[in-house]
Amino acid sequence: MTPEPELRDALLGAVPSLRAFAISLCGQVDRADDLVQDTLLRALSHIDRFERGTNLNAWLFTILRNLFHSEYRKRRREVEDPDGSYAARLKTQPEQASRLDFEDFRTALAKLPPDQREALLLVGASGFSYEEAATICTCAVGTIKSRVNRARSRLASLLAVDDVEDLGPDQMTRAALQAVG
Amino acid sequence: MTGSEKREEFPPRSTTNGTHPVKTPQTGPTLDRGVQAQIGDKLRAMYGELVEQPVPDRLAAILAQMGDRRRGGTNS
Repeated sequence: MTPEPELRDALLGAVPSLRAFAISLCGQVDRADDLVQDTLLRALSHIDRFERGTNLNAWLFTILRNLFHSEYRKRRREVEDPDGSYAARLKTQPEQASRLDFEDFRTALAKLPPDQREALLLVGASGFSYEEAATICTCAVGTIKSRVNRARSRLASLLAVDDVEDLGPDQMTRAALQAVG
Repeated sequence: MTGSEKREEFPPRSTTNGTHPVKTPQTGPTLDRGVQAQIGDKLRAMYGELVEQPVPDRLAAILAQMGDRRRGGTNS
C-alpha cells in the first residue's frame, strides 16, 4: 500500500531524527543505517496500520526500537567502539573540536545498558515525553524515569572519572592516545 | 504532562559521614542540577550534530521509490 504524499514527506522528514537515535543507540553508523532502512521498509509495509493524525515519530521510533532489541538479542553482544572508528565514519572533519569533544561522551554513552541508553535518548534528546517514551518502550512511566536517572548518574560518574585522571600523571598518556586517535 | 516530572529521584541525601561524603559505587555522588544540565546539553548537542547529517541515498531512495509506484505495489 502506497502512502499518500504528505505521509511520505513526513516519513522522509523523520529520517534524520530516526538516524540520530539509531546511531546513538547502536554506536555504529553502518548498523544504524541498516536499522533505519529496516524500520522504513517495515513502516511502509504496515503503513495501513498507522493511524493518521497520531504521532508518526512515536510510531516509527517504536518500530525501530523493537527491531533494535530483537536484533540485539540475536547478537547477544553490544557493540562498543573503543577505537572511535564509528566516529571516524561520520561526515565531519577530524579537526572539528566539537566532534572530539563528543568522543568521550559517546564512549560513555555506549557503556550504558541499552535500556538506560534508549530511555535517556528518547527523553533527553529525541524530544519525547516520559509518557511517550514509556509507550515506545512498552513499560511504565516510572520505569522510564528510573532508567533515565540511572543513565544520568552513570554518565556523570563515567565522565567525572575521566576528569579526575586529567589531574594526575595519566594526563600525558591521554594526550599521547589522543594524538594517535 | 505534569510539573512533577522535573523532580528527580536522587540517591538518599544523608550519605555524608561527618565531613566525608560517601560515594555509592553504583550511582556515584549525588547528581546536582549543574551536572545534570551539562549532561543534557552535551547529549542534545551530540544528537543535534547527528540530525544535521545528510541522509544516505539508500534511505531516501526507499521513500522515493514508494512515490513512483501508484499501483499500490507489493514490494515489502
